[in-house]
Amino acid sequence: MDLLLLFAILTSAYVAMAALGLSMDKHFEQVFGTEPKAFYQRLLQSAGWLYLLLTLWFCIQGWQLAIGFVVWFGTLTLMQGSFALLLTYQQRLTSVLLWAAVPLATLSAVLLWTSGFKSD
Amino acid sequence: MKASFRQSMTWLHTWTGLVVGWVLFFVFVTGTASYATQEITRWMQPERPMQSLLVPDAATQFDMAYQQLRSLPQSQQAQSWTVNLASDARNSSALSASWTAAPEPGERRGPTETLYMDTSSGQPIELAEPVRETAGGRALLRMHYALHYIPADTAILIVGLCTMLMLVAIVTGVVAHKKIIKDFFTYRQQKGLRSWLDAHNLISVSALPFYLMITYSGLLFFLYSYMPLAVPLTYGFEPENRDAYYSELMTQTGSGRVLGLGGGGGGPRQAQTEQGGRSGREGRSVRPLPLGQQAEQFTDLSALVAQTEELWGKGQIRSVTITPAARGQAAQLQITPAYADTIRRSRGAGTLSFNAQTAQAIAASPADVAAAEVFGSSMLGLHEGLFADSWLRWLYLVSGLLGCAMIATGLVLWTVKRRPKLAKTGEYEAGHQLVEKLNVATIAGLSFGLAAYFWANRLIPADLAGRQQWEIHSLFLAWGALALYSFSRPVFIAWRDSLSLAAAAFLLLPLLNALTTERHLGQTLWQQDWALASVDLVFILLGLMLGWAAVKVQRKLGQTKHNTATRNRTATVASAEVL
Amino acid sequence: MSKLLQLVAATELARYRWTVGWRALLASVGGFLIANLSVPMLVLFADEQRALTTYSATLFSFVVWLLVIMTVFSMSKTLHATLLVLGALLLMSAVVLLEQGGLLL
Repeated sequence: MDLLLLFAILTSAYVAMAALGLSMDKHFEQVFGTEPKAFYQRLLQSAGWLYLLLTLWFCIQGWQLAIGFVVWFGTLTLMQGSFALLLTYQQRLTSVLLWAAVPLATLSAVLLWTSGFKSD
Repeated sequence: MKASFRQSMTWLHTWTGLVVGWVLFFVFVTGTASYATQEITRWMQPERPMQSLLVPDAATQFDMAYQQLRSLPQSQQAQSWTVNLASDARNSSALSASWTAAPEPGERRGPTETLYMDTSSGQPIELAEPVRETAGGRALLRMHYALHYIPADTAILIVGLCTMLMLVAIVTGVVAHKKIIKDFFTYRQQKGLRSWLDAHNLISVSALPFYLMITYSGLLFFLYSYMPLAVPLTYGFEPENRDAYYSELMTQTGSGRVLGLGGGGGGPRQAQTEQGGRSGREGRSVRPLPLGQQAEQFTDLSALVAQTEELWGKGQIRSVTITPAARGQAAQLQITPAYADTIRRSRGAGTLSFNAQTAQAIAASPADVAAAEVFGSSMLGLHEGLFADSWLRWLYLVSGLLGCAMIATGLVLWTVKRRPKLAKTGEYEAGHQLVEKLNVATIAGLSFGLAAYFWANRLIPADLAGRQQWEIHSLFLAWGALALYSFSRPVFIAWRDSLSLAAAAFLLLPLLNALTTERHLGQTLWQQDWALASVDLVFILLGLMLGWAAVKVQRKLGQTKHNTATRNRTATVASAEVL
Repeated sequence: MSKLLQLVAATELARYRWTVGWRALLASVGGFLIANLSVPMLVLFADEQRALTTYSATLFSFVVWLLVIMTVFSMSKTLHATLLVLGALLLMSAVVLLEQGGLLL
């Protein structure tokens, strides 16, 4: 198992779920205490979808098309649950982790891309 | 039925879910455990060696085992030799050489003997004790579709009917849920009914694709038993009509097998036994040379293994199987990869075959398969997840556990929703009571039973004859005992006690393991045998989760007591004032 | 008066229970038969590869059953649900019988 690949799908799946979740009025207010501006909402939404696709791309590169989709669904399940739990019990942490995960996911994407997805 | 479509669907969701919930909880719990069938069996056979720390390349390992197979007197007459290489692949912790004898008349397979080997010295490992017989993970796997103590044919129909209703419950649940997107991440804690609803919605939505897949594909394993009139209505009701359909189907799908008859997807059962009988007779008339003798003419097999490892990458070979020349077929060397690269349920996917004498590659049959067959076998493959590597296997386990939680929260939700109304009118119906008690007995009871299954494995003497059956009996005895207890106590106290007991049973399992075997966490973590260690760790995790639930119930109990106490006090004050 | 109300409520409840029971019967038995009959119906449209169509139709028949169950329980009038299921059953069996008698196509 390639640890970098695993790290990449975990971080990018978290970014996807957290960004999509925080783009909702209800949850944005829960975390930041104010209504989101339209611009932020749009930004979070597009980031969410972008990283959703990025996760899928990681999965397909690492596991081939069919199994890749299965891994994608499973990882999203895990991250959706984790984000929902954080949102209930550790609201601040959701955004902190989001800021941390964006560069990490992006960096691992670049690393994986330049190495051509070869493990070892 | 009801005023609106959505209300009707909610009603249908509620009642189908309730009716089949308990059976399905059992199916989901044992089914989820089945994603770790091999790991559980390994845990239940602590005599087997641990992960080899030093793993030489495939050809070296193969050579070590092959030497043994060629020299041991008891393996010479075998029908096949298999070398399982030590690698990162699933259930491949140790190098082993095994040989399978010819089947007894009437049996499908002959007995297999296994020799574990030390990867550094190439010498057989002397096991301190013989490996114990165990019902293992396979018993749980079988229970999840064939239950236990009732005839398998009946059980399969019961499970099938419940599965169909589960499909109804899932689809109606999605239809009935108004704000599925809006509530995608929503959980509002400590809000009573609201929290239960949120939890049930959240868990149900989170792995929805998995639930749909697992439920629908569950129906396809026994396709023709569940839609028994489909083929007869099309082809006719005679057995030969059915056989005509099977043979037509096999040519049209291009796969040479029929899926949906249960089992491994071979030819139809009738045809299989006939074939078995025929080959048996043939085998007696023209007896092929024993494998040991044939091996003298084999080419350099380890070169083929080395070549394949070069092609696939280090540690990517799971096993190597050698079968003798028989019935006009050449002796074969089959190399199986660590992980299948397809989601389809196909035996021997990705396996490379060579002629053992000439080293020539034997081309696999063309994989030109009809779309319907691809769909069907993919569904079955997705259900079993045999292609899953360790990460995906964890994801399967999580999804399965979420499925158990979905059913459990749904069952509890039914009672929570009706409690206030019943409390107000004062009529605490017998039906409601029954549901409450069945919930405790099933959810907490089965958890305890499962823990008892593993306790039994460690406590029943390793050499007791028929101990496998006693392991299974222990599961149901413990479950039954706790169920009886829960029926005799008030609901909340029953919840607290059974959950605590189940939690304790799971939390103490690693300790019991340490007291009774050499394969405890101290050893397994030290040796980096992650697969074996993870079983103990999952026990602890399950114990913590059950314990957390018990604490929650205890708090609730404290609250209610407090509330009643205050209410009583105000009542006394009020009556005092009146006086 | 209150006795009368109670009686009305009781019959109302009993009526409701009978309706639910009847619909459950329609959905389970009727749905099961319709699902099974849907296979030969779909095979009617297959010119070649009859076995493969039978297989695919059987895979699909579970969805047919599901839809029948949902329809039976979503219709507002029990009579309508009854007529629909019985009508479909009658029509489908007629077609299948005619086809097997060689009277069709």
